[in-house]
This record gives sequence, C-alpha cells and structure tokens, in this order.
Amino acid sequence: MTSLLPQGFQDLERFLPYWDVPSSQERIARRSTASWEANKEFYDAIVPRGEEAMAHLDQFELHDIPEDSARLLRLMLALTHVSMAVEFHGQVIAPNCPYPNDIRITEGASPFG
Amino acid sequence: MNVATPVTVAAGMMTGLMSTEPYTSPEYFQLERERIFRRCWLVLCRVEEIPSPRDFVLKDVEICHAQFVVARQKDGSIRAFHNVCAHRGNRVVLRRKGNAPAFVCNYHSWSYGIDGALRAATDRESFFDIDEKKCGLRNVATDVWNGFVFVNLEREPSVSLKEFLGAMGERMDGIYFPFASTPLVMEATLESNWKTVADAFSEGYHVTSIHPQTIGESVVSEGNRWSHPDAFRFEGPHHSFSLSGNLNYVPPPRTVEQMTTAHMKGGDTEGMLSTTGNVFAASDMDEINRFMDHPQVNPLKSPSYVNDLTMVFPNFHFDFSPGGFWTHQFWPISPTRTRWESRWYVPPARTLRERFQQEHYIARLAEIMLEDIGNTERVQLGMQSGALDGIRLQDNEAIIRHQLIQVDKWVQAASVAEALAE
Repeated sequence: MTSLLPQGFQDLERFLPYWDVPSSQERIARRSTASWEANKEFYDAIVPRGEEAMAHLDQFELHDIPEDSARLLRLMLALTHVSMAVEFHGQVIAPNCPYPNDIRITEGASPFG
Repeated sequence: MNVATPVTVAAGMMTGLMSTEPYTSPEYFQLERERIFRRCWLVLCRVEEIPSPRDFVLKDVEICHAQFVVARQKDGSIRAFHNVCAHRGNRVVLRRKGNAPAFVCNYHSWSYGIDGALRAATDRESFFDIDEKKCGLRNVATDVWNGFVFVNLEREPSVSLKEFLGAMGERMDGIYFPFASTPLVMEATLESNWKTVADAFSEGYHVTSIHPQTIGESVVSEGNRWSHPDAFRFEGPHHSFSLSGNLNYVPPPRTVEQMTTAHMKGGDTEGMLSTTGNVFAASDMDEINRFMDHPQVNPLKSPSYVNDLTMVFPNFHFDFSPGGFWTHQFWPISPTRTRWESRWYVPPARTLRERFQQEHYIARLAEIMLEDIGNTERVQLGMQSGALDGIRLQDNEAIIRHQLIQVDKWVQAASVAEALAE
C-alpha cells in the first residue's frame, strides 16, 4: 500500500483527515472549531518534525510537488494557524473575539490558498 | 494635555464631544447617500484587476443601489457603466469577473459591446421609437489615479478627480505600488455603521489593548506606549498619519513564529521587516525599494517605521508599510450594516518554504483583522444605546474627528464646491 505521507512522516497520517484542507480559510475554520486539546496535540506532534519536514519539502518546486509531499506541506500550513492559538493566545480564539464570525478570505495566496 | 499644541487644535478642530447621531440615524444615512456617495469620487478597484482588453469586473455601491461594470477597452483605457439593461433594467452581466467580447442580457438577449454601447436589440421592429445611441449601458464618470480606478455618480461631476484629491493627490502621486496584481482579499459584512468600521483602523491608541499578542509588542515601545502616530496631515476631506514602532523588538521564543520569520534579518529595509514589518514572508527587495524610494512612503524616514495610513474620503484607506501596501474599504449598506473589504498586496511565493512563511503571515493577519473587526459590533451597539452624550476622542484620534467633521460638512453642503471649500 502506498503511504499518504512521504517516507519517515507516516506517523503523522492520523492528522490528515482533519487538518489536511485546501485553503487558508478552511485552515482557520479547522483551528477555530477544534478543541484546545486537539490544537495542542497537533502542535506538539508537528513542531518537533517541522525542520525535518521543511528540509524534505525544499527539494520540490512550488508548482511541481508530488501529492504525498503536498499533504505534508498542507499539514505545515495548518500548523501556522494552530500556532496562533498555541503560541499567541494560549486559547483557541483570540481573546474577546467572536466566533463564528463573518470574516472570510475570498481570494487567497497561490497555490494552496 | 502633554503636548504644546495638540494636533486637533493645530488642525483647527474643536475638541468637544462628537455626536453619535451620524453613526446611528437613518435620516443622516439618507443624507450621506445623496450628499457624499452620490457626489464624491469613489474607488472601485485597481487597474491590475482588469489587465487585458475586454477584461471586466463587477463592483457594488450598495448605498446607491448601484452595481458597475468596470471594463478594459480595446485601446487600453478603462470605462465603467451601470450594470443595468436599457430595456427594462435587468442586470446584464452576471459573472463577477472575466473577459468578454460582448455582454448579452439574459432576459431578452439585448447585447452590448465592451464599451457599453448597444449592439443589438432583439425583435427591434416591434419597438416604437428607440434610438440605439441612447440605449447603451449608462456610463459613469471614470478616472484613474496611481492605479486606483475611481467613479463619480454625478451625471456631470462637479469637480475632476484631480481637484477632488487636491494636495493629497499631488503629494502621493507617482508612488510605485508593489505586488499590485496579487492581492489577498478579506471581506466581512458587519452589523455596524461604515464609519464605526473605518474608525477601527484610524488610530494607534488601541494597539496595546486589542492586539497584545499579535502585533502589540512590535509596535508599542517604551517611549510611545499608546502608539501615538506622527506626521498628521489634513488635506481637504482626506487625511494621513504615520506610525513608528518598537526598534528594540525581539521576537519572543515562539517556535513556529521563529521558523517563519528567522530569514527576515539584514540591513535597512529588511531589518525593518524583522522588527516592525512583522508580516513579510516572501519578498522581492527590488520591488520594495522602488516603492520605499518615494518621499511620501515613511515620510519621516523613521528607523522603526510601521506604516502610513491615508484616507481617501469618504470610504477608502490605503496603507504603506516596509513590506508593501494594503487597502481597506468601508461600503455602507444601511445605517447599521457595512461591507468591509480589505486587500493585502503580497508578493507571490517562489518556493515551498516561502509559501509556508507566507501562511504564517496570513494566519497572523487573519488574527489581527478579527481583533479589529470583532470589536466594531459592540461599539455600534453602545452608540445605539442612547447611553452616551457623545463620543470622547483624544488628540491621537484626530483623524476620526476629522472624518466626522468632513462627513458633516459634505452632508450640510449644498454644492460640492461648498463641501471642498476651506
């Protein structure tokens, strides 16, 4: 069976069903609707592998990346949003801010935005 | 007061309470529609949104119940017209943007050229006395300044765009706007008056309270705890200020933040990116330098430059920072409802690592916008409560006061000339 993530990262596959989403807007929604524990679990599992993951990804071109590595990249992109909760606020949503709210990214960065 | 001559006083403004009525009153909103939005030049888009001949984009001006087709002509010029069929008023163009040789109304198939002229009315011979020349999509006065496309809803604009922009337009002319083809767009419809939303982006006083983790430490410094802006300018109905930050800022030991910002070090402008820019994940320094070279970008040449804000009256902010520019626009829908649209012009990522770094910037930006925007509905409710005799604006909120004074001046003025008079 082919693995969903590149060699050496298969232990992170358990995070794909929830955290591998195509756009920044959806990453914000995933982080904002996950519990603090789920955010923290993801953060604690990915951060120690972050440099290793980026070193792996450095070998590919932005617009020419195999799908297993693209999944790994999307986990790293999700990590940046989760880091807002873990590193900035110490809670899921910024203090005193409404969630859900109507703010939407209607045109994102390309690709994976 | 701890300064010799407050900015507010130097600009000739009174210092008392400001009424909440303009933020809440339906009658006032009607006047804003007729006297401001139907008479001022309004920004609709940038020229880069429609780069090629026959490119078009739809833009809404809800307060005037209007929707415009902005279209690049075959000769490269830009025109705008009401998206209203000359037959019975149907919306002709239904796609939000695209490239089209012609527009065909879906109701009875009347067709129009990219210049808005009627090409053909179907079943022509059954009509009475139609003059095809009068059956084009109705033109709206259009002009371009610094790459921003403006329209004016007066049939015959009382003043040219150049006159309307006045001293601000001259001072800011010729700025190079980097990465203008690649905006990141954020939008929200908010239960707030349009001025309440604009106010959220019009002072630095809130930074330490509202943005403690996201940008507070990089902007707020020992010597400027409440982020007092500098270089205030009041030019006709428009205004600007500049904000400096904390030169001694060191990013805290946050793992992901450091992974995504560690590359932002180096000389001059790049040094600013690491200290106060905060946001630039992928960049092209040639583009940035071309932009920063203009004397009105960081006009004080502050070493801890954060940003310059300019309001183009009535509802458009453009902001500069060491990493480029962004815009906010505040479109009134009702006295207590506003469409906010923000465009962040970001360099396209060139590598996967830059894309990763950029996502951290986007994530932080979304946090900052939520912190700013998340407060406006509470402020609006407070102003509607009747609890206040008026709002209390301090000296560093001078541009909020200036906006309220200018809004009222336009609302009272019988003519545009009177509204623009000294």
